[in-house]
Amino acid sequence: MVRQLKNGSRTAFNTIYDMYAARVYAFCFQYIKSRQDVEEIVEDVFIKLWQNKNTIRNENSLQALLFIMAKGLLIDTYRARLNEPEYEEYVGYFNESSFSVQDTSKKIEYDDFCRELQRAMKKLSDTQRHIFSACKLQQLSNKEVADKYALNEQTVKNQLSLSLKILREELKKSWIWIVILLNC
Amino acid sequence: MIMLNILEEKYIQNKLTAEELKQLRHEVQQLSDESISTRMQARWMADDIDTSDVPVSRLDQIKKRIDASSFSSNSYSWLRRTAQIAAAIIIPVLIITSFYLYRENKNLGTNEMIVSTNIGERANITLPDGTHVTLNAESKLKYAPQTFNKSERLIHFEGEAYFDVKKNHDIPFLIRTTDVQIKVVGTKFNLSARDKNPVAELVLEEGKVLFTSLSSKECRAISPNQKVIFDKKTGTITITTINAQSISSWRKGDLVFHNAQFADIIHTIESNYGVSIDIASHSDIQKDLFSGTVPSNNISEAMEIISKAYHLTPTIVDKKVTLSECN
Repeated sequence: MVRQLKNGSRTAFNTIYDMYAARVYAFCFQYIKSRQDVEEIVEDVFIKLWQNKNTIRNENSLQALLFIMAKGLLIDTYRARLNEPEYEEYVGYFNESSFSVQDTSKKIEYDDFCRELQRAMKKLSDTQRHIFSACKLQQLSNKEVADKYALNEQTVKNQLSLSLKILREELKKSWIWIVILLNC
Repeated sequence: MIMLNILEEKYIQNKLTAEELKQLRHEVQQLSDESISTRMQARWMADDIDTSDVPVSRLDQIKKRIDASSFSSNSYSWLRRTAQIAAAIIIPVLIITSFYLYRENKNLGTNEMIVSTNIGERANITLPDGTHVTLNAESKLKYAPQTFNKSERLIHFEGEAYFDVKKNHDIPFLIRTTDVQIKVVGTKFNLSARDKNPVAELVLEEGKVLFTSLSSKECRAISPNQKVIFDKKTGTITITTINAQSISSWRKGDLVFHNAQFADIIHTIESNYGVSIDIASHSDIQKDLFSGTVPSNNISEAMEIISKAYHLTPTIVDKKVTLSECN
């Protein structure tokens, strides 16, 4: 079949896709957590496979080759995901929800989580959004935020507390229960 | 190294704590791309990757895109290029147009459809799955068209409406209000869930409904010709038997009251007609319950009927109704 692929057989290509696409998807998803990003990688891998079909040596190396084509984007996205503050929030949500009474089959996916968080953030006023973003996402201290936006520290604390309340309410509506760490 | 393995395994299983995430982040930062690659490849080549969660439909979609970019024949590539340029022009135009269309909804820039009615308005809408909803006055319905008919049909709702839900056993229909959630498969029912009312009510005409209190997590199954009353204060769910047809008759243009309290009648009429009703009477008559039908499109007739029942006289000036005692 690999031989057929090298000869330019589309049927062979289709068969290989059927054999490996799900595996690529599942494997990458374990590291990337976002379906959107994973789909990009799967697409990329197989497009590259077709473009480089001549370089495949034999049946055995096909699986290894697929990994090599995936690893660039996979590793970069993996690193980025670990550093994302939104992902840290998502982990916090997972910890909380394991104690909740909600059925565990309703665990929300990362893509949806990010989207809901974005949507909830829109409900904040501009000031609140800036303060929230600086405090939680950029991890500045209350004092640093106060200096940055020319506010006094108590105002920052109050606005942050209000923002968390609003976000919590918004996210509750979209069925996400989240404890956003109060430490700033 | 062992620490890293454990953390990585937990990460993959989504069992990390926030602290552990920070540790993993730190560890990975120290590693080169090569070492990460070696570790990943070892896992990749092993046999045990669970593909049961992978959505087949998405794989098909991806394949289509792959085919499109890999297999276009050269003799038509000029056409493809022209199409791409044309698309590059048309798509921004379409986006701007949709932008203006979506401005009708209150939420700008989010993927959400909102239908709402004001006082005295009613609206009929059909959802992407074929479900018909008749919204009564002062009601609001929200859903996300992009995700609506995928794994579930979820809408957010406040107010009163009649639902004729298209049957689909694979994709349940969920209505979420501030206090309760209703899950159906294919049914007809009337739901009144107004934030300002102390109770939410559902009357089931046909089919089956699962009614859940969001606060107490209590879940009850409802059968046709049953009415559910949810008390927001106590969180209790009460089920009674009733004639379902009459409750939803507001759709046909009548307001039907069964042993209704005076205050409720006044409120319903105010809401339906968009008027404000003043009661200039001190007597106790308003304690009586009223049963009867009142038109929803003729304010004078409606007021006549109510006034007669309560020995009052109506005076209607524009959007203001005054009820005074009979002499």
